[in-house]
Parts: sequence; structure tokens; C-alpha cells
Amino acid sequence: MLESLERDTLAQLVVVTTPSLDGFSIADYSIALGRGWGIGHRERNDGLLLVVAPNERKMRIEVGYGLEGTVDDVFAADVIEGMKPFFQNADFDGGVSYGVSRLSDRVRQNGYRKAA
Amino acid sequence: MTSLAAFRTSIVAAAALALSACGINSVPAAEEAAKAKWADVEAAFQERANLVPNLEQIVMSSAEQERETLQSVIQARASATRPEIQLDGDDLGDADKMAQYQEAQNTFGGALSRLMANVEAYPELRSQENFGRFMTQIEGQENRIRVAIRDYNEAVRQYNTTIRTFPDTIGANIIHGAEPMVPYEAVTQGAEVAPTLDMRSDSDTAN
Repeated sequence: MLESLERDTLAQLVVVTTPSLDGFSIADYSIALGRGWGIGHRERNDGLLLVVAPNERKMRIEVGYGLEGTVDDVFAADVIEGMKPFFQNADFDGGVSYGVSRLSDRVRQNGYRKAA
Repeated sequence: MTSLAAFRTSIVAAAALALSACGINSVPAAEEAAKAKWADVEAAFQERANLVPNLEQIVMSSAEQERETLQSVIQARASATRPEIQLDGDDLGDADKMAQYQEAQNTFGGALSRLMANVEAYPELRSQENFGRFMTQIEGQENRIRVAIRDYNEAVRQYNTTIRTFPDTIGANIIHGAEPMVPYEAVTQGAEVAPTLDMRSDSDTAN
């Protein structure tokens, strides 16, 4: 699913679950991870990172600058809200795939730089 | 003859090396990097200010007692976006101007966060969908500001180190007349330090 998204739209979506945030805020953790791994194309800056820290009960969607118009703050917050009920029912996989499908649908719908 | 040519070539090569090692290129490169990061900081602050007109619309439709808190946000925003408050890339060494800029942004940020805290007291306002959207946008923008400030401070640190350390300091003093730049003193705790994650061990376990 993630691979086909990248093939079709060039955007990279990465899901990370971590047992611990090492004491950092989830925002700091996510941006360090996104930059450290170099998610998304360097020029297009089209990486999407979904970080789930189940033990700290935190989630975050980090959006590369190039995708901020597509996945804006309000949409990202809405996806996070939608994921919460899954986690409350201990349906970890369901929560992650809900998040992934909403994010990838959004990127596809906006026809973000179709691959040739 | 050939040995003379070789000698000449080596002189040129040595001179090029010596020049490149004394800050001819590294000083302006570091300077431009810091200026670019500063532009990001300004853009992030500007974007925060741009969100406020949405807020004004919400105020107009809300109850009287809520307007006072919102009014202070609007005033602080007007003050923070005054043209004389703006700080362009050439003034980054000016500590007074930087302090002035920071103060205006802090006042504006403070008014915004007071409003966020107060909103709990206004169920009517809190229940409005567009106000929730505004809160989310502000939260996201504050985060971008924090990242931009951190990146700027890191670029300033590199620039200031470059112009003070040998051999770059030679070029910095003699040719460029480089002055140190002023970092942005963040008010939010932990904003100065970027976390360093042990990414390798993470990816190893993933493989």
C-alpha cells in the first residue's frame, strides 16, 4: 500500500511505532526521525510520517513542507482523532491502517505530482 | 622548463588551497545559510499572524464577554506585524533589533496562549467548529515556529563558529569584516535543543 502510493504519487509515507519517545515530545521526536531518515524527496520535501507511541499514548503526523497544502493541520488532527477509537479498543492494526488509508487517499485525491 | 611549469602549477594550487581554507567561501556560505533560516523564522511568524483574521470573524459572531480576550490578541498581532519591527537578513547582528522583534512576537504569542487557556471558560466559543480549526492551526504553526527557530539558531552557531575559528577567521576579519549574528532566544522550554535520536539502532531492529 505504501509502495504503491510512492509509485503513483512519488510521495513517501512511513509509519513508525516506537516503544519509547526517550523523554522527547512527540513533535520533536517525529521531526528528528523524519529528517534523520530523510523521508520524502529532498527537493520536493514530500515525506509523510505517522508516528505512534502506544506506551506514551501519543500519535503524530509529520508532514514535509511540500505536502503541507495537501495534508494540512486540520486534516491531520482529524485523522488522529479518527484513529483514537481504534486504539481505545486495543485495535492497533486497525488504527494504523485507518490512518494510512486516509492519508494516502488524501494524497492520491490531490493528484500530487503523478509519477510519469 | 617543465619543472618550472610544474612549480607554477603547484604555487597556484597551493594559493587556491590557502585561500579556500581561510574563509573566502565558507564565511559567506555560512552567512547565507543563517539568513535563509532567518527568512524561514519570519515566514513562520508571519503565517501565524495571517491566521488571526479567521479569528476576528469568529469574534464577531461570539458573545460580548469573549471579545475582550480576543481583542488583546488582535492588538498584539497588529503590533508584531508593524514594518519597523521587521528584521531582515542584514540586521541579524543587531542585538537590539533582535530583542525588539522577539519582544513583539512574544507579546503576540503570549496573548494567543492566554486566549487558548481562557477558552475553557467559554463553552459557546469552544463548541464552534471553526474555532477548533483555528486552535489546531495555531498549534501546528507554533510548532513550525519552534522548529524554524531551532534551525536558525543552529545556523547562527555554525556561522559564529566559522568566523571565530582558524583559519576561516582570517578571511572573516580581513575580507568580509564579518560580525557575529544573534541567536533567537526561545521562550518555550526545550526549544533550543534538537533531540538526537539513535536512528541506527532503530533501523537495525527494523531490518
